[in-house]
Amino acid sequence: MVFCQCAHHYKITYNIPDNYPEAKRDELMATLEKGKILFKTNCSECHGIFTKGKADVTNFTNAQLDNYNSRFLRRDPKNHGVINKMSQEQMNEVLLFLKFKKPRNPDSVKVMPRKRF
Amino acid sequence: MYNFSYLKKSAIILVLFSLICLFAFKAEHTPYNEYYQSSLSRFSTEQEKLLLNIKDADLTTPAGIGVVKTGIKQARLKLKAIDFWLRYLEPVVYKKINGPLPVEWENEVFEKFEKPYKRLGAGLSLAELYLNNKGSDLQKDSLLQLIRISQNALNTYTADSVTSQLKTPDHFFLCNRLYLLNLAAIYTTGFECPDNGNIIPELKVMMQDVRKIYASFGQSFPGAKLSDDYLELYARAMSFVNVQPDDFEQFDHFTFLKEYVNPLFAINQRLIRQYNVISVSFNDYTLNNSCNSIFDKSLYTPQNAMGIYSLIEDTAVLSEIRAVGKLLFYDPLLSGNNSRTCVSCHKSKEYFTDTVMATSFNFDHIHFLPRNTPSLVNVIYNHLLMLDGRHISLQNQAKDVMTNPAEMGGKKEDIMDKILSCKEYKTAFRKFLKYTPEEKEITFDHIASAITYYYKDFSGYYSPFDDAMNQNRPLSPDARKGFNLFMSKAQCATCHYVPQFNGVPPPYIGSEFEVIGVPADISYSKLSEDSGRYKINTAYETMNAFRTGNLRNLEYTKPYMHNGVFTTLDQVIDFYDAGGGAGKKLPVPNQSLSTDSLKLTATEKNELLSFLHSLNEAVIFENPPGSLPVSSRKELNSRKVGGDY
Repeated sequence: MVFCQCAHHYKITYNIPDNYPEAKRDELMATLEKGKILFKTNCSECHGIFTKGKADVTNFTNAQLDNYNSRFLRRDPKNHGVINKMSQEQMNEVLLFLKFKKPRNPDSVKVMPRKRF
Repeated sequence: MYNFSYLKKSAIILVLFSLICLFAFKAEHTPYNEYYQSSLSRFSTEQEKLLLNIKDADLTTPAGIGVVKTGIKQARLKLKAIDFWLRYLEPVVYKKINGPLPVEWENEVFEKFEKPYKRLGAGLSLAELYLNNKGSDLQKDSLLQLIRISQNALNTYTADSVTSQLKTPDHFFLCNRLYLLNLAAIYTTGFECPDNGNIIPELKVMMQDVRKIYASFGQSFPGAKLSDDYLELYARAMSFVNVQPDDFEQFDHFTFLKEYVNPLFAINQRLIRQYNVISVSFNDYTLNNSCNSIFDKSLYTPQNAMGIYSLIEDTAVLSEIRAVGKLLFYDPLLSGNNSRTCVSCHKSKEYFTDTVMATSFNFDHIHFLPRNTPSLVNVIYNHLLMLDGRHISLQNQAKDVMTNPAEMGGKKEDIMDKILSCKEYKTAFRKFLKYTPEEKEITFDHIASAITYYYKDFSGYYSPFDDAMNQNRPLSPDARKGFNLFMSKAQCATCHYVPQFNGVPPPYIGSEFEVIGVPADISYSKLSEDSGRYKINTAYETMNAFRTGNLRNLEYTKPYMHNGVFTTLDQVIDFYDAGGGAGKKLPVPNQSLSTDSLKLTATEKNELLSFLHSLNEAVIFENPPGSLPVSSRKELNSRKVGGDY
């Protein structure tokens, strides 16, 4: 019950540039959706969203994401185990999701209750 | 009173300031750093001398050219003393200092698609080649320019971004790993050394100079030393090399690699793990720290065969995916006419290639495809797939073949419908779908990834040559002689690199392409019309270029070359012995293979064959499935396991 409410509150919206080709929008949205689910399944345990932990999808800067991707590409042993297992396509989907997602506006987002279910 | 306080304050500030200076600049003055800087200067001085030499030399006389050549030789020795650092710390800049080719199209992959990019080489090797080949057109300015570019490039190595890495021990073990891999794969073969007479003399000097690097590192980083067993073995390696003949054709490449380089590599890997060395370089991105032999197939990360199933860990599910992949491999539903399968061309009992036909049938069953079917065994160790390198992932390659009108002639939606009309497939893929939650429905990727996951297993086997390297098993004297020829006189190893003997050189991040001038027919009447890599990257250098093949299992994977023109290995060796297509008088202006004859004797050719046969892997193949899943569409149930042609 609590989960459903929260999911409703934190509906993800995306910043897609106006000049993004119309023909490719559906494709992009499908990719972002995949990225969202991959993030939810593999990352959100620690990095917020949907469940306990931090209140929202963490706002990563583009520099952080690029940095993360380069560490993924050179298979940095300090990187998360689960991420090192991802295929390049899956990693791209997650990164695109994080890049296009609208950043959290602290005023409009209610703080998630920090209690366990 | 006031004065006293003032003095005290000044004294404290002075002491603090000197302390800060002491700590801040301490790292700059370690013996290691000083040795680095002074070695760089020695090379720089030698290049300066070379420039003066060239300016003063009369290049119209053999004596003048001789003076310049001696200068290049001297400079090369100083370069070899710092090769250890230069190659690892800035590999791109290195191509300006000792690039092997005037124009190189880089194909580094990093598992993402990037257009090939052009790099111009400069430096000592090219200057020497210019002197050797230019004849009367010799331009002093061009020669000077090659050295000046190299001189400028060297400045990169004194930049903070590079020297800051010298403050911690991590880079040292990674430099050393690349050095050992290069000792195994290129330093003894003449790659980047135009004068074959200098290969071993340069190696001797380089090994001594690297020992000086080891010593200065040990002084500066006592907490992360090279172990005693490493230094002791390195000393023995040097003694071995020092008593070897200077002629690289007489050098015992096999013993050097087996007894010294490979065990040194194993110790260095152990130290990388022990000191928890972390890389900040893209050079190491495929190398695996837990691998203990250059001839272990885990040396570098191959293609991702799991594709969409990458995150699945459950071994029971994975073996189900493999079983489904195997059925699909033999299932004609993947083709447009329900008559062709993967196994139509990649025959499972013939090392997943077709040993009978030069090139397989076109989809129309009348014409033929332009290229020979490559074996799927060891295909995962290529960073670029297809002979023109058009794909960077196994899955994209598989999807391309299924939907290519000339190959399997299928349509994505049609294939999906047919596959899902079989209950067995549908149940299995529905199950797999649960393990890929990002996908809402069963996709073409689920099919392609199951197929690649199935066939990747056949790349995990070893050959007698690997067993000799890894397990000290005996190898016949002929095969050992053949390997020594392979690494020297026969010039094979300058393109087919240790350990996979494919076109992926250390640090194993890119696949190379070569122009060798393969004829259209066995009588050499004309050059093969296939433009190869040019189809993907239109450049003068890539016309008729093909990705360098893997030499493992050669005995069982005939016919040879991109068009399957040669049916025996003798024909292949004769082709190379003659200097490739250009050596056979075909018009190949951009041939990257030497056009000179190798002058191999009949005995040498046989020894070479013995070595190539020692690369046959003991692959265990499987029987085809007894039957295929039943479809709800009756007309599909008459299809045959493996298809019709």
